[in-house]
Amino acid sequence: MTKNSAQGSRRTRYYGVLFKVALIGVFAALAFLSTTFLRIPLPVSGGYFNVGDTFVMASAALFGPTVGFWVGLIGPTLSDAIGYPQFIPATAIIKSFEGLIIGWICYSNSGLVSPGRCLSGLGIGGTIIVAGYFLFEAYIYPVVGQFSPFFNVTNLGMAVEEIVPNFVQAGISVLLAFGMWKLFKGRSRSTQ
Amino acid sequence: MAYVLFDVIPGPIQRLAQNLPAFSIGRFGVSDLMTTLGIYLFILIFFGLEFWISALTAAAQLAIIIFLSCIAVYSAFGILTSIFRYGIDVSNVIFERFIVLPGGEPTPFTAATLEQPIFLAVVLPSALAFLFAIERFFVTFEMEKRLLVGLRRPGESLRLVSMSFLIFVRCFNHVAHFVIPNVTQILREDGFYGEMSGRIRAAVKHIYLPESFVLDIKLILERLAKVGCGVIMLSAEYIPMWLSQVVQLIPDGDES
Repeated sequence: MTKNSAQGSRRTRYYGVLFKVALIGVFAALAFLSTTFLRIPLPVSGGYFNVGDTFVMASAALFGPTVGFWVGLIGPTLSDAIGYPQFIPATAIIKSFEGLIIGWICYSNSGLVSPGRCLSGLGIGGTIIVAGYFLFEAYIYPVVGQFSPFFNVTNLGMAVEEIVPNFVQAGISVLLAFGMWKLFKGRSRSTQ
Repeated sequence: MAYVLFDVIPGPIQRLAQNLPAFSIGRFGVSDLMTTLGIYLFILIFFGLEFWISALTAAAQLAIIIFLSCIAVYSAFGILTSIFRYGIDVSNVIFERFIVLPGGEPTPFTAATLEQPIFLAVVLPSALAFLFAIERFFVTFEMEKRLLVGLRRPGESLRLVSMSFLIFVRCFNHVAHFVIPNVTQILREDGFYGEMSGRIRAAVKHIYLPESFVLDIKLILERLAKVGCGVIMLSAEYIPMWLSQVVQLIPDGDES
């Protein structure tokens, strides 16, 4: 192998790795900032809906488990650092796991993934969010809170109350991420 | 900021503080002091003495302004209350009534006057220095500059790590400083938030008409998904160019 071709192959390898890193950077920033700043008001309840989870799910479904894992780990965790530092460990574990699982189910190198498989993968991801937060708030945080008052912020009753809002938020995120997946996949198929 | 900071004092610090001689001035106690020292130590270790001094100087200047403003507001309030309650008392010391009660006990105002300087001299500079540190290292382009210097170092793995960080920070900054502000502005100009609000209201009105309701929800989700795709495309627009530029930074004759 000549010197030039070795240099070229190394650059190609770097390019591949850096492309994934760039995607992680973009989606992590989108997940972080859209959670913090892009809030869609809900006139019915007076609350708001944010699209942070949507970008974690979309990144995993479009670019695979590695991207999904890192986006889930970085983006939402940064959002929690502003205002809800107690939930950083829970969010980091739940969202990264969610990204990993969605990526495993919904992504294929060949690009041949049926809409049904994608939707079910996203649904499982949404379930991980609801179940994960319930587990942390109902059982893990009360135990950890005995050793550190910093984490003594939730209990079983509060965790039960959180189930419905979390479910609605996860459900909307699943549908939006599926919509994005369809738009991107539809466009890529039509251009192939 | 100070109140936000000290409402979340970690448990280990609180327990350690219990073993130290107790003191309390207003809300400021041993655990607050220890948290402050912890923050100072963190800043000194990770960001250096020079940065700590500059951040502390800027924060202290701001603290003095706030402190003087507080004193001015307290004094003005005191004078007004005095005039209202006792009439204009020129011969007597007006402020004495706000510092010492008739029995010789200190008033709540006394505690406040002691608490304010301590809080503002110790707590506020710490909190501001911490915020400045975050701003400087995670939001500005300072990190990109450092990572670009790191690309010149020998060793392939180290270079790849530097490149990865550089690309990550550049993409993150691009989204944070360009994409999200632009998208927010465009959505505001297009009346997106009002449109969404209207569509959600329409969907709620049609809640007893399943077909209309499903159609409304579908339209809302389609619109949001299109906005999301637009944001992703705008964010990823320059990635190929940046990757080419960064990869070209590898020296041609480098065999490491």
